[in-house]
Parts: sequence; structure tokens; C-alpha cells
Amino acid sequence: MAAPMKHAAPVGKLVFEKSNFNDKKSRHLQHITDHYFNYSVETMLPGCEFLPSDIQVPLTEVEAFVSYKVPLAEIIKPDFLQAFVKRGKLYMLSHGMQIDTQDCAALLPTGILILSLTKDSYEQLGLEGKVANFGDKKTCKYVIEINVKDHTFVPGKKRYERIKRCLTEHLQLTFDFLLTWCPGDAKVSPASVQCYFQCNGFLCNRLPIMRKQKDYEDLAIPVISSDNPTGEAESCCDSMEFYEWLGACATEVDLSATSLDSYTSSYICPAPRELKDRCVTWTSKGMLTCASIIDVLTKLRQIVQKMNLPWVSLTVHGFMDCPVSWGQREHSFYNNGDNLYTFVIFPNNDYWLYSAIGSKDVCV
Amino acid sequence: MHWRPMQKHWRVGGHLAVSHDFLGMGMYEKQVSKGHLPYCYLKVRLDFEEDVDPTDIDIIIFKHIVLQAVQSLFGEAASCTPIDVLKYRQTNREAILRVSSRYFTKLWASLTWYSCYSEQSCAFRVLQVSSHLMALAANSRQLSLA
Repeated sequence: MAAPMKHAAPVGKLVFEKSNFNDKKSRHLQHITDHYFNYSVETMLPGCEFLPSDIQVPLTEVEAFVSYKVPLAEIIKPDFLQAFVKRGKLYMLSHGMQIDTQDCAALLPTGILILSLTKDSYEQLGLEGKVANFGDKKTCKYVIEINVKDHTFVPGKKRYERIKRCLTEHLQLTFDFLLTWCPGDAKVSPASVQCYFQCNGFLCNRLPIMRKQKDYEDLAIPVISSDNPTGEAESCCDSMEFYEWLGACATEVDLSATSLDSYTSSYICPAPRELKDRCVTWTSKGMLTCASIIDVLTKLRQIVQKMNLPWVSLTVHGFMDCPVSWGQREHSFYNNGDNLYTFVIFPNNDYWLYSAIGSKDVCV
Repeated sequence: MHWRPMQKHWRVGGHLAVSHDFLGMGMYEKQVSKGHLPYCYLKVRLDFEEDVDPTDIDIIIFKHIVLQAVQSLFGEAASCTPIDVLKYRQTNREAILRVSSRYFTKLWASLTWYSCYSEQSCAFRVLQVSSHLMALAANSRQLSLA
């Protein structure tokens, strides 16, 4: 280890943005809505004695389901497309498949069905796709995109019949799907999609949302200033050190026991820091919709001003084995399947946004 | 921590500069880091072939084992490399390690090669790897459908 490996491949990419919510060109909403598949949401409220009751409501109302052994041919049936894909936003993601070595599928709310297939599956299926950015000659993967919302994608048309034939005769791709549906009509229940699958003979259960809350007492937090993310002035901390500290809190690293000369760890809370009597963090895990995350963000913006907190953070983790990260940008798993973002929200409506992705992913 | 991305791209102000100055708001800033970030983080677990009393291996011994792994593959000088055990759970010997990204590959190699502690067969399982500590807070591959 005396000689460092300077040319080893990077493990991940990080994009840092600083902007203001009131800015007309701020893309914070677009950033959330383009990140379709959200696995975990975590917030941190420093200086907050108790967790505001209404903040968790948007996430508890999310109705997510898991449907087992669904053939892809089932998803392109005209009844299903008409009832769910064209009348709301349907998010479907294959579960239990590892994108680096296995076949994966996702249906985006825009109506694009994305198949990320291994070479064997791709050649058996016989549909036209493109080589994925990820992988070498041995682990080559292929990506197929099908627009199921297209007005020409109907029975009787050549393309529809060809895709149907490939999915039923050439290779019957079957997945366990995680799914949520946000209906366009507020009177319709999101659970209709569960009924549909059950009526068609598939096992479809509700996906539970796991919740966890952690309270800190006498926690030292770094002092940050929204105007100074590079930490040039000594009165505030660098944004990158702060992000690492947020990560340390999220992974429940015990910072009270460590010091710079400790044998086990030299990591300490970055300076300058201040002591807060109370601090609350909470986490929700499951399959969460973009709309619910926007609701949480809106509530956090109100809370940070109303309760006079120095800042609050909102972190969203995506699914590691999702074929897309943001929008239709390809996502893969090399050393890791990172696709996460963190908002640090300040009382003056400024925000910092960190977006972390894997080394082979296309940048945000 | 001194943060120095290998390739960075600054876009300060950009399309918002005029309106922001006028309204007295902050400028839009974007910084993209595609090169090495300063650290890499590994979530690892030490498994033994036979049952071992969890109290036998505390965080001090665990750190010693990690350094021993590095030393056995890359020699004495390697033990000077700072490796931090940020978190350790004694019940299942699971830990989060932090190392400079320049030494990350060598640390991973050392852990892979390590196979015996006090005459007991063991192996490090690398569960998750990232250049962002925040990324280790969630692992969607562990999603339980129960």
C-alpha cells in the first residue's frame, strides 16, 4: 500500500448544485420527478425536539404493491395499457434481479418499457436494442426501449404483433414487479392495479413501508452557510465535509467516541461545529412515489422557517438494480449501484443538492 | 479533509447571474466531480467457518485484523496507511471502513486474501462499496417483501 494506485477506476461520481427554491429556473422539482424509483427517504432535523406529526403523512399514504411472476406479455395487453398506463402514472420495477448479471425491466410513468438484458436473453428475444454503456465483452448487456404509450402500439399493427410474438413465443420473460400507480382521476383508488393483477390470477400483495426514527441528544453539528459551500471562510464548513458528516449520521456512526488520535478511527465531526440539544432523524423504506417526496420537501421548507432551524436535510436513495437513474439515463451496477440525492434546505430558501451516481452512469 | 476532484467543471452564475444579482439572491453553482473522490467506504463482514463467541472480537481486535490483512499482502510500510473503522457491530462483526480512494483497491485485495485469524478459517465479505458514505445508509438489495 506504500505505492498508491493512482490510475484505479473511480468508484462514483458526485454532482453538487447550489440554488434557490424561488428561482424560476430552479430544477428541484424536475430533479425529484425524474428520479422515478425511490427506495428510501431520510430526513434530518437538527435542533428539533420532536418530529412534526404531519411530515410523515405523505409517505404513509403511498400504496405500493409487489406482484409475483408477471410475464412481460401481460403488461403490453391493450386492457392493461388503457386502464393504467394511459390513465395515470404507473411505476413498475423488477425485483430480486441483479442488473449487473441478470435481466431487469422497468416501466416508466412516461410509458417507456425498458429491458436491460444479458446477451443470451437479448439474442433469444430477437428485438432490436442497443449495447449498454456498462460492461465489457464478457458481461455485455443490451437495452431495449419500447414506447407502450405510442398511438401505433395497438393490436393489429406490425410492431405490436412482433413484440407480442417475441415476448410470448421466443422468450417468456417473467419478473416479480414492484409497482405503484398514481391515477389521473382522484376518484380512482391506486389499489385498482392490485385488483387487476389479482383478477388475472397473479399474487399481488401490498408492499409494507418500513419506518424508523432516531433521536439524538447533545449532538455536535457542523456549522454551514448556504452562501459559502466551499468553506473558504473559517466560520463555516465545506459542503463536501458536511456531506460526509450527513452520511456518518445516516449510517449511525458514533461520533461521540472518536477523536483524531484514536486507534480505530480518526474521523471526527468537521469544524466549526455547534452543539444541539436535540436532533431528530427518520427514515422510510419501501417504494415511494415522486409526488410524496415533493410533499415532504414542501413541508420541510415550511418547518425550517417556522421552527427556525439552521437547515434540514432530505435524502432519497434509488434502487440499485434500476435500469435508469434520472429520466431515461442508463444506470448500472459496477462497484455499486448508487443513485441518490440529498437536499439541504436553508431557511432563506437556498438549497444545496448533492446527486451521487455510480462510476459508469451518465452524469446528471 | 481537503477536497480536490481530479476533473471538475465549474459553472458559476450561468444563466441566472443577472436576475440573481438584481434580487440579491445567491448565485447558481454547479460542481461535477467525475474523478476520484477523497475517500472510499466499504461495508464488510468478517465470517468465521466455525462459531466464534461475538465478544471475542471487539473493535480494537477487528482493526488489528484489518491491518494484519493489509500487512500480510503489501508489507510493513502498508500499515502506515490510515484506515478508519467508522462503525463496528460486534454481534455479527460487520463494519464500515474508510480509506483514501488511492488505496481502496489494495485494501479490498488485502481483505479478499485474508483467510485465517488465530488458526481459525475466516473470510471478509465485502457487502457494499461506495465513494459516498451516505450511500451505505440504504441497500435496496436487502428489501424485504415480508
